[in-house]
Amino acid sequence: MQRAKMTTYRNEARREIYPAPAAPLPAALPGYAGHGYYDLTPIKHSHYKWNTALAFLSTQIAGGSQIIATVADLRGQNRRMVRAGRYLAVAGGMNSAAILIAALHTPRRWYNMLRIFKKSSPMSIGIWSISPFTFFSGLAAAGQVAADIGYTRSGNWAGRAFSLPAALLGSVAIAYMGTELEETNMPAWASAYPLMAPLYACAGVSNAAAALLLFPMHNGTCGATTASIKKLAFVSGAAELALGAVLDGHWRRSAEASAIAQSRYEPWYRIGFLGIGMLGSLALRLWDRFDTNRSRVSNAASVLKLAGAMVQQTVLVYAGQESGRRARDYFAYTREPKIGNNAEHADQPADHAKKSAGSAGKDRATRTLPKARRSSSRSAVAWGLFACGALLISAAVLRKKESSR
Amino acid sequence: MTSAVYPPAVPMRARDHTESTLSRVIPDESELTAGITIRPGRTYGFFTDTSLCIGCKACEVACKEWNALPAQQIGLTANSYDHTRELSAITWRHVTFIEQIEDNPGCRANRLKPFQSHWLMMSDVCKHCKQAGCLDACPTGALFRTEFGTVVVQQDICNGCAYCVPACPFGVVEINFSDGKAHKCTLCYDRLKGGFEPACAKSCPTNSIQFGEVDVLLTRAARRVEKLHALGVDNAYLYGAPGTAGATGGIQQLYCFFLLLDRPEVYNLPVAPQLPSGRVAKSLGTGLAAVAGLGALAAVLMTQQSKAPRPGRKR
Ligand code: SF4
Repeated sequence: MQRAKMTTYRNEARREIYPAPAAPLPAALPGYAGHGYYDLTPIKHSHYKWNTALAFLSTQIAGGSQIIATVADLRGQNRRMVRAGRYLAVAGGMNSAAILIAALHTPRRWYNMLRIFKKSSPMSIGIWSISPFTFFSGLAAAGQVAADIGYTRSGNWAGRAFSLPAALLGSVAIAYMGTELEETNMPAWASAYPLMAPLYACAGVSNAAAALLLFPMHNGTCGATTASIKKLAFVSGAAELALGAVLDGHWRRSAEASAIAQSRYEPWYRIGFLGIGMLGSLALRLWDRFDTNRSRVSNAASVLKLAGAMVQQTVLVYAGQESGRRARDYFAYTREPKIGNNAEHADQPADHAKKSAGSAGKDRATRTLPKARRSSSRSAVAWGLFACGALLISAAVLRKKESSR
Repeated sequence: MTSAVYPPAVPMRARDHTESTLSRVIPDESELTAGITIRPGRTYGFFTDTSLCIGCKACEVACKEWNALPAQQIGLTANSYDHTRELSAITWRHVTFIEQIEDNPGCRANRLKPFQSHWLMMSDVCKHCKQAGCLDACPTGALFRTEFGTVVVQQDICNGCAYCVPACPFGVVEINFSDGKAHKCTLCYDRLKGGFEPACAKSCPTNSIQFGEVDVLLTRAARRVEKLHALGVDNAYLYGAPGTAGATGGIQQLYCFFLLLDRPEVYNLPVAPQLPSGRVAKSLGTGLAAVAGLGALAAVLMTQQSKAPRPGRKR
């Protein structure tokens, strides 16, 4: 009798940790006890390492530089900035491709990734964006070289013609990396949906702007362009900071990301990336007051930004890997049922295929997200809208300030 | 009868059945061992009934032997009788041992449960998901869906990018660092082609692992659950059948599904796994929208600069 009572209490205590799912599990089962099978992880962790982090940063700088250079070219900005962007894009693209190939476990078969294109595979999307991006960036850089050695008209024309597709592919290249991390079963990454891709996109532009600002631009002739890139670096950095801070809050609140919120990676993310890398560089940019000259302050801001970016990439890669080792994080990520009544199917196995085919669309993507995660993605959308608003307001303020000068 | 000549040091027992005495392979052998004829175009899988598993590990051994897989590790894990620990690139069947002695916490249990005493055993394997995360993630096409509905890695195509590894919601597929390729259960693709039942199912002495056409297995499994419920085993349920735990988040169905007797986490299975590839378009779209926004902002900032050069400042 006493023992039966104890078992009931214990089961109730278990239910308090995670309520027993309503639908498919029999009522006779207790709630989740807070542990699994000898605390062994049910999934295999990602094998990404520091070299992948480096390749991500390099891709961000390359893709972002090409986008900025193309916009600058179309807007008739200073040629030195356009040239720097094009050269940086091709160098970064080649560097990323080389590192990513070397990171394969069978690098001599890298070209098998070019056999097929799969829209369901972020890595396939990445390969099919980085490879042609590097190709077109190479052609755009060749055009730039031609313009630099005297074939100004044809060189500039070729540079522009090839940089347009390169910039479009560069946009995919800087966004896909967030998707690549998010669309896995590593709880820390997967629970960051849908903020990871915009975070990487903003980081791509802000890191590229920071890198471009380190190039010697000969202040006298490049001042206005330098000032606009500084503003772009500030606004994209502010958006990145906002997204990074929202993610930090989400990770701290959720049980799915202890690998990032309660681990040795936490101070690196908060102090290294959010603090020194982001807040530090943004403060220095404000101090610099978007001056038309290159200055030590601006250079320091760029260096801080790029160092913070490397810390961010490394932390995200390793914390994601660590979260794959934490069974509890994964059980928290997969704890809620997203399905109907199993009795319906158990009785009619013959037509299960028809039913599951019919429900396939419904069963995918966000419709299957449990309530808690749905509300977290709703708040993510709200934060996204807020970040967009902040972007527009800061652009308007900058513009007003500029016209009043 | 064997024609081989052995040195006297080889004991008699080791000499038994060293070679097949059959003059040829039995056509459609699965009809004799599993009662089914294997034909391409149909969907095959396993129904693993954990209420019948006795933890003999015959399936693990048969799998290793047929697929010529080396031993996982030599040593004791202290995790009950499970020294294999997990599914891996070289372990495609893994028997979990769950000892439930919480009736008398901290002491030796002194009252046995009415069913299966304190032990739960389950032979885990690749689930050959209907919508497989590994298959969706593979950028080379090395992972493919066979004519038997199963998911197989072609090592001659795989370049070891390892993206399938975190994409699998069940921790099945893994890189073998000695050859740099991904490996996992093939549901004995080679045997199926030859009309043989998979090695693990054939070796299972209690019929805990049942091989067959998935629809037939589902009917059988539903009847088994009903029977167990009638016997008073209220906690029996299916994991991975359509509409049940395990077949969630876009995965739809596991072709290798299980009858479980405790929560999925107890067997190291997630209650509601997710298919990661279901969100790719939305995620990428969000990222591209952010890039477009920042590109537009760059254009605005640069227009303003090019239109209104500041007096007194050189361009
Ligand atoms: S269980 Fe994992 S490895 Fe097996 S088919 Fe499903 S996703 Fe692929």
